[in-house]
Amino acid sequence: MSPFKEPDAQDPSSESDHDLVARLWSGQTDALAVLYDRYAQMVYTLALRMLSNSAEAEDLTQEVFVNFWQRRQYDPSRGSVGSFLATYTRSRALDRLRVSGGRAVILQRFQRLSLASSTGLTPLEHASRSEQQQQLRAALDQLPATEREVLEIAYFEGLSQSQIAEKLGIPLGTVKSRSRQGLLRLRDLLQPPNQ
Amino acid sequence: MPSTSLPDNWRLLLAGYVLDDLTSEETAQVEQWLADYPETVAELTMLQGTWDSLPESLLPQPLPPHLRNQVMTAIEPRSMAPQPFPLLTPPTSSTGLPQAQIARSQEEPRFSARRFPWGKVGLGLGWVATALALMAVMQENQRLRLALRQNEAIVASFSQPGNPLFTLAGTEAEPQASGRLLVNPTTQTALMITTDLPPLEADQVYRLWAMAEGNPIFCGQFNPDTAQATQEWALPDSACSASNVQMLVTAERAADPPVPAGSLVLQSQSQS
Repeated sequence: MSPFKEPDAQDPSSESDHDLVARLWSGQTDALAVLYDRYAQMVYTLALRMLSNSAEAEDLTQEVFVNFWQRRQYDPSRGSVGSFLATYTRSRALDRLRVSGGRAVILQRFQRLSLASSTGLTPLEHASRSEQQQQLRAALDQLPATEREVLEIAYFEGLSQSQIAEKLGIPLGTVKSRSRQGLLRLRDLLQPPNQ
Repeated sequence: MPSTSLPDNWRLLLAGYVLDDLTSEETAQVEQWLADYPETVAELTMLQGTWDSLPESLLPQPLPPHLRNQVMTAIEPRSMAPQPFPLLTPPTSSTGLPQAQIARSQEEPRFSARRFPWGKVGLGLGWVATALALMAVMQENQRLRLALRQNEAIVASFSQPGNPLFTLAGTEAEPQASGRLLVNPTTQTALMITTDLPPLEADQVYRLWAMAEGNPIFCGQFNPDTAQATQEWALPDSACSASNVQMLVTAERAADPPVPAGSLVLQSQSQS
């Protein structure tokens, strides 16, 4: 049973994200309610994981959705709504945590969201959302614990490699090789290359 | 299959690029590969997509039930009592305009104006989107050179006969500033070129308004980060693409709803 709502089952309109965004930016704010129902739990869960504080997580969730409507930074040609919201949430959470050396670094990481193309190059593109989540969790379970650990710290705590090395008491080179190998292994598990 | 000129560890370096753990020499090498070998762009996209999907691995937490209504209330300006626009002439003091009397039904969220090094380039220009996909992996100086060429092309495409063009003069709040606003009614996009309009603090933003029959219509927001700045965005209201309106720019708090409350900084000629 999927923990996240599936758009087909729950939304009366089954409108695509793309159509919802188009309607939203033409002034139909009810479209944001649908996007909220689809993605707010993911945004809030990520915010809570990173900020460890439910009031701050609520605040950030509201900021993410209001900014999505108001600032119109999302570009459909550069990726999916879910990917944008996740990356934006993480970026704003890192701002609040004041880690990773400042705004320039955070901005640079945020700009890389454009690589998750909507034309089908992401690993989980062809599965439904709940299948994607199950595949991802199963793949993470298959990673060596040491690789999974450094990846999750890097993502959810936003620590640099040297900060992770210090936190875990291991050499920087070890952190680099575990996180790089972990990311490659995860990617290969989700969609084996040359298929 | 990767080119034989790529070393065996090319995928590890791409992973390092996503994780942002490369030296500057390694970064330069990866960015050269991205320019030379299309398969590396595809693989980087997969790795970046994997990294970006990590939030979906978390066990979902229950949403606070009141949050949905709170968010929807925050984005509905019509739910607030309509206020007259405070001033149409430049303020006589530097303290700016009085705050509009708007009741806020919830605590103000803490916002921070996030700005990108280039504006929303590429609306309706298909070739730009392709270039943009590579821009994220190019070095900063390459990005800026490309953005400059694209800006010139965009300004040229906006300057069509019959498209509304506004010259904006600085008010007493920003006497040195000026602006040119080009509007494309077909694509419903605006191009704002500002000169000497100072960048705002992180929690503030400039907002554009079209004065239609005495009512300010919100037409977008921006925050220039250079003395000569070009910004482009989609217009939120078709009234923004009329040519016989006065266009105004105010400095606002980003957290505020889209109702003018701050200092008037730029204005076009009055149409009355």
